[in-house]
Amino acid sequence: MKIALFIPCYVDQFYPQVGIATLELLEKLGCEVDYPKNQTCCGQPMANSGYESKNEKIDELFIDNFAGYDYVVCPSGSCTLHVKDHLHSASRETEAGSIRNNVYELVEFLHDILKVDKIETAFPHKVGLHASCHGLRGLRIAAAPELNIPPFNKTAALLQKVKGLDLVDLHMPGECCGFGGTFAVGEEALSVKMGKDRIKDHTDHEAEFIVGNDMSCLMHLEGIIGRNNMKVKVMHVAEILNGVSA
Amino acid sequence: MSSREKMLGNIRKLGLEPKPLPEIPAFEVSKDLEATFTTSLEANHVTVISCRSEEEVKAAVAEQTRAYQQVITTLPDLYSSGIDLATVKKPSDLRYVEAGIIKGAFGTAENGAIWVPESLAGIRALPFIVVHLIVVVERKTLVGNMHHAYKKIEEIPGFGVFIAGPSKTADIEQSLVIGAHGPKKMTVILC
Amino acid sequence: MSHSTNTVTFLKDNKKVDWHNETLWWVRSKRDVSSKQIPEWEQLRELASGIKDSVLSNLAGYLEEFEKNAIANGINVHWAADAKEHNEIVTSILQKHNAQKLVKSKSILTEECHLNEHLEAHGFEVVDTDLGERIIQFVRQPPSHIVMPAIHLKKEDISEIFHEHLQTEKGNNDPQYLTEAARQHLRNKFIEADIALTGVNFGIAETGGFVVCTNEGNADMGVHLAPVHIACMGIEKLIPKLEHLGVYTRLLARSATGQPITNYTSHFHRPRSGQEMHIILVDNGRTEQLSREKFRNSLKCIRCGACMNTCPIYRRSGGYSYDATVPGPIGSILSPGVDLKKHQSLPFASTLCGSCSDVCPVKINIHEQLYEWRQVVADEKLDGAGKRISMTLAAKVLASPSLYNMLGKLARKSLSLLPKSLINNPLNAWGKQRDLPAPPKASFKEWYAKNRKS
Repeated sequence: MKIALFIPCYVDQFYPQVGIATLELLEKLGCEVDYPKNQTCCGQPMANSGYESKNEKIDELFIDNFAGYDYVVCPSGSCTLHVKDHLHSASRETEAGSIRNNVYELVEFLHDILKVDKIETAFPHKVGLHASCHGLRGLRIAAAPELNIPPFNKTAALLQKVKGLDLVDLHMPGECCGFGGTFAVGEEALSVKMGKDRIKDHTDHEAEFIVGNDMSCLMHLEGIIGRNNMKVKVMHVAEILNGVSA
Repeated sequence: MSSREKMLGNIRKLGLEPKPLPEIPAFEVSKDLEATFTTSLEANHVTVISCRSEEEVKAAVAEQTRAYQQVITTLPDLYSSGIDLATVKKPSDLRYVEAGIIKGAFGTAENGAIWVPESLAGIRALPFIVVHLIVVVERKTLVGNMHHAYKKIEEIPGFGVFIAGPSKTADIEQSLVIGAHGPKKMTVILC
Repeated sequence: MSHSTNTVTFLKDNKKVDWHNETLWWVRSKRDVSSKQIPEWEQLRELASGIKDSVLSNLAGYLEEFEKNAIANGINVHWAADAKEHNEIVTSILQKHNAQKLVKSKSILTEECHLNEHLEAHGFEVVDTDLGERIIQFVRQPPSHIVMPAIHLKKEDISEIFHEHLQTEKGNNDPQYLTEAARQHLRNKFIEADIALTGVNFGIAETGGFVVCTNEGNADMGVHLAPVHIACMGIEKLIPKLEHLGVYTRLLARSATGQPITNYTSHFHRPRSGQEMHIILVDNGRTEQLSREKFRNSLKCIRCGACMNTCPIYRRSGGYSYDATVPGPIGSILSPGVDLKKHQSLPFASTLCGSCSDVCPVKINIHEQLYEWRQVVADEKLDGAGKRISMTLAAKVLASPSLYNMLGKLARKSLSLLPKSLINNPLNAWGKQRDLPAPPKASFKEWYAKNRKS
């Protein structure tokens, strides 16, 4: 099984520990993982701003880096969804298509492909799970609360295997945190209001950690937490699954 | 060119491929239609009186209308001293009527909706303008859901309405108020 | 004004924002409970979407079928290519009957056409009879929500408005009391009306009739008392057969408010004896939207408002922040088709969270269409040179591993050197109310090069 690790640009630059946790976790589970070193970004910031047309070279670079693997694994639902929905190439559409099919968000990959049934780490804390929208409603990592389908949550299913971890119930488990890429600056006031409301749902339920599959949402929440000197912390799901002491 | 031709022409020139209509499958319905029908109505602020004989129906009607002077009905057998429908010249003559007693063609269990074609309303405005609407529904007419309900409408009346409860609004701060324009009270007599 | 500018104004009253947010969330929660009582809910959504697919693919045929059957039923059928023609048709019917007074039940289409202003300019009295619409009509405001038009007002505001216009007691904020006052006031209006106008929820091609849904019964009070009934219908409101109402009546009210069906679902096929019935089929940009493949299925909308109630943006920015006839997510994919320049900020008034698409009873892919409109806005160069330049530059950097590596390092370095006050200042939209992450010494890529040498 040839696996390529795709580390989103902001994780690479600002949250290397999340990339490290992802890599170590996959290795521990017996995967051989390549990290194509010329990778940059999936192009989502441009595309979501209306500039998908500028992404031609980014897409080509992405294909250079990630074609030919059985799986591309990424610790971000949002970047994974972007690749799945929008990676195209005029000259190499077959390769683009197979990457679109083979790209997996980390939790999806652990749950659906590796079918991980044991997690050997402990995290004796109260944890609130932030279901980032693109993972939730784009990749369907969990049953969206809007739908009338049997409930499931792949991230929660993995976290529940961690010793001592106590997942708290939330009032609005499917609510957006207000990050939304350039929305965070384009609609700054609203974005921050949404973030504050989201954090409050977690702290109202006594979460010590807000945990999620997307560091981008968590970066936004962490920024608000920091500015307001709040006690709750954010953490990527890969860090917990890989084993981290808080 | 008329607007009609213009609009139809604009649509036609798109040359869209006609897509077939999906088939509506048969969905399961409640096993106890009467219980579900009653629950649906009660949840929507309707009083349901279950009767087993014509005497019980008459008694229920008498009980419900005891306090009123102005009652209109399309069912003279159940209430004989009502306003004569034939004397109503225009619908607004009904503005001070306190209660109306009509029959529903059938009831729908899943939502309490009762089909009232104009022939059973007597006057189209009647079910809407009276303060207290009393509807007699036979339990043998109950259907499970709206798919069955529409199948049951064989002849399409000039006007027909599904009534599921008294007139209501929540337009002020989402606070529910019963009796916006139409009936402030609704009673279903199930027989 | 852009959505973000309007939103800043709305956000100033934090308590009211929280109330607005929680109230609409409560409606959304009722919708969740109600939809989950129906095991076949997702199948119904699929059917509702499929039926509308068929309608939109053969709209001309269905319109002709509807017209033929409606005429046979004794209904006068009119065709209006745009808002102006629609308003003129209404005026001409009023004039023909020497009518002065018109009562109206809720019709978003007539809001879209600005019918009230048109009729008032011609000297007619127009009375909106839906309670929420009457409230806002007194203060000459547009609806801020398509199902709950006065949701932006608190009962204290409404009490003030009624005190001024209906002489209710000053300071009496009881919804029951205020509703009763409106009831008495509007009863007279119904009785005096020369003409009643309604919108249309569904037009049935097979039978040539139409359906109007209300909870208040105001549409019925109007049309069953007045000698003339005018129904205004967007051409996309058609459904092929009566049996299809089984699907839509199960979805509409559950999606809108969580109730299993509206209290009155009225089916009009023939005028009552002595009455005249008109239906106006309105295009006003709909055939143009039909021609846009990516945006075509926005025309499936049955105006339940569920996407507004679920939208985390709408709940916290209010209907007026959209400055459009239909606010919220569905409005943000319809309005750019009408006036792209005016509404160019709307596709960006979203985090693309997708909740709108998942609540939509006719499965419109609203968030994907928002994404597509963003592409159109940028292609048409409506979003400003600054953004264009920065996006072009970013795309260049991100297409080059060496540029990306170098600039990433530089950014981390400068962030760690610069004083916090300089980074987190109000000129930096991120840093106004948020800290930036503390920059790490090494990127993942640098760590990898050191720790996983192959």
